[in-house]
Amino acid sequence: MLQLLFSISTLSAMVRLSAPIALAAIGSAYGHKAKIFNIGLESYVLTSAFFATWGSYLFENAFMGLVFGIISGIAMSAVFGIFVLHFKSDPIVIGIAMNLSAWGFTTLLMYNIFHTRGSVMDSRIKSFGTVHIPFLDRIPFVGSILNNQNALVYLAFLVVIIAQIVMYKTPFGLRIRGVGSNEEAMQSAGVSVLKYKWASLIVTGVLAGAAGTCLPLCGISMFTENMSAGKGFLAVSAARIGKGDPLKSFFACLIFAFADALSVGLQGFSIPSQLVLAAPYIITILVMCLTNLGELRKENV
Amino acid sequence: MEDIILEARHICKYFGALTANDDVSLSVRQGTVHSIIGENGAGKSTLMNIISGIYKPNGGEILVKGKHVVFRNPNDATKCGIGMVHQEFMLFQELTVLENLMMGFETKKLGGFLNKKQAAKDIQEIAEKYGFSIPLDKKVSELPVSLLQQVEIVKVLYKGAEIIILDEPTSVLTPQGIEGLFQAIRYLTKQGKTVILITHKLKEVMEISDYITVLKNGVVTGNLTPDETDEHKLANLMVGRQVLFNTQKHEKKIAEPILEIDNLTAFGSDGTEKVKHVSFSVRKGEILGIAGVAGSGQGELIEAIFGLRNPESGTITYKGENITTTSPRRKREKKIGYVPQDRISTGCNVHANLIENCIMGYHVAHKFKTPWLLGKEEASLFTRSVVENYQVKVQDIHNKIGDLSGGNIQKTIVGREFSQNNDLLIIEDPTRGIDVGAIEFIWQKIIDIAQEGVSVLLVSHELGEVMELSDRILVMYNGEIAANLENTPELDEKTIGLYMLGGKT
Repeated sequence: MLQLLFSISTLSAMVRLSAPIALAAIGSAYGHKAKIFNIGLESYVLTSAFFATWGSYLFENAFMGLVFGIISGIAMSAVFGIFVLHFKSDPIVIGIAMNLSAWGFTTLLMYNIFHTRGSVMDSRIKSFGTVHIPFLDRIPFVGSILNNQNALVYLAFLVVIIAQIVMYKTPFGLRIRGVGSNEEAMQSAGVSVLKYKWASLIVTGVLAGAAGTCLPLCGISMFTENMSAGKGFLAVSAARIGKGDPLKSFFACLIFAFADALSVGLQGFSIPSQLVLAAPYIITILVMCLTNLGELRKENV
Repeated sequence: MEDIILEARHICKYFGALTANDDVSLSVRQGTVHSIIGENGAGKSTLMNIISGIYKPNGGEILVKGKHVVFRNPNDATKCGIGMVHQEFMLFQELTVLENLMMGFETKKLGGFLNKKQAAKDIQEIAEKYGFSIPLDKKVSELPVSLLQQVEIVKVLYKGAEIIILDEPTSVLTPQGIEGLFQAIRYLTKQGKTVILITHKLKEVMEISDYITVLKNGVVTGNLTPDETDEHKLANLMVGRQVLFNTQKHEKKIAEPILEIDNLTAFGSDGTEKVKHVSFSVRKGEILGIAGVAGSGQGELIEAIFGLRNPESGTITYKGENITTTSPRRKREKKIGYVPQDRISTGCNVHANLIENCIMGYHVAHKFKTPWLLGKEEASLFTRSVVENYQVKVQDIHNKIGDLSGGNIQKTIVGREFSQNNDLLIIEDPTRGIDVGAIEFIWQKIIDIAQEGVSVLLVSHELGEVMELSDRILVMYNGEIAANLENTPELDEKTIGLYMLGGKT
């Protein structure tokens, strides 16, 4: 069993499965730094997954699927932003409302557009292909884990690196961090708080849209009801564990993806399947507890 | 040299029915220190917020260097060379000093990346020119308050300010810190910068100002220079009546200890040891003052004593009984009262009315209740007595306490705690941010209650307050008691200040 834990197939699956969570988590990290608590991320991922499927179906082109996914992510951010930033609604209530309606909304659209229930499979839906990087062949073990992954997986890695640079090396990132740290000070520095809160929401929308695209267009070329299955929640958790730092959030994503990959591998053993499938979520709770262990002795009243 | 650099003419500002500024005119000369003084609510901050572009005036005009200007936002004011250092620092705790200074004013390279090196160089240059020294790579949350103030001043200088507005800059500083700030101000004005100082501390005004403008109820009541006035005249102009800063003290008997703290240790919310093996006692009828720079462990000490924070070790003995782990509710039943530092978040419930706030914490101890329900009648009666005895200005005791001014909220809380026949009162910063009249009133109440034999443990960040009221003064430094001094007339601020900074052991 230990062999299975760190086998190439498990680790390769981890890398593959980390892509959607990582993309959404980076988006959530930008929201976190700007102090927007966006629990609605789950609905972003699900809705984008549907629209990416539809876009790919309409144009028979995976790239158009990505464009559709991103646009729907931005649209979700617009809904969230209008309610939270302009009507000053409670972000948790809006987030929950969006999460609950997304399932019904996507199922309804699926029935009206594809006239099916449960799942959509069609030869017109095109996925992104895998990419072979010759350079990686020369590195044993690590090379075979990282090589021959889907294009979107590499995109996710690129996004993590770019997000880290933008967050800490550009005025934009500085201002996002400033908005989350002290809004009044931000205003006195002559920077519009609202503008940068919106900007962070748009980043969340774009990246969560890309994350949603990963689900149907990463090879399986199909959409199923409630396809996101908690990936958005995992992403929110990852961003919070990483305290909004893109790189740290990404490492949290890898832990979740590893648990996810394991649950696939462990299904061959005589462990109750329900328990195996629950592994990623149990690990979320464990990681949250462990990262906050230091807090335990601080408030002892 | 003394040209008029900033002029405000006939400024009017209304907030609904409230007149904050009524026909206020002000001329500030270049290279001078111009103090604006007045009670809370006199309109000082409103005027400064208009000059720094945060508020738009309802009437009047502003001229900078003789030119008419209209500010639509703080940026416009910054461009005209006006920079404001707010009382509550406008800093980002999680960011470094350098990032703080760059915010909104970023130096860029390669078409979009932060050029931290260049910015650091520019800032160092400015800091050196004006005699400041600030660590650019440290996080703001790691720096002491006096240094943060320097950061704020360097920030406005970095943004090219000619006129620097300082809002209550000395309220957070030790006497040595204030001296340092004044040196910096003198140095700045010597270099041609203009400083506008907002304060209510008259002694400092007399020491540093070239010109003084007094505001009362939104109207200018005096334009003077320090040579032609003194503290008492200024106080008269501010309040409109005679103010006695010397509280009436009488001979009193200080008896046996009532509260004894032995070897108490407590941790702060960040997990570090904030109170380190502290021992002292409070005697019956004594006012024991605790002085110290903010964050020296006073807050944690008080929380540990009142039961809001579990002590790590040590014992607290009250009237011979061990109360180390007794809950605040039981402590109130044992006649211990508490006036917390933060009146808004800890001291009262801003959404509740005056009656509810007046019995808060005592609804059990005082038995404001029939067997099952609150005794509304008795509670109202009690509230009326507090309102009357403590001169709380309120139209109806069913009004929300949050609608009252800070001074009136504080009077209500003090009234609540002082009217319960408590034997020990723990008081934190009783006069923070309230006006001169209310300060005088509360000080006298504290003196009076101690006279009646109640023990008072007073923590204040206002050294003047501790020295004015206390019979004995403890100075806290870095979680320890650095000094235990009898408050004799010979004791001066300088000595205590040295202890506060850990300079004397």
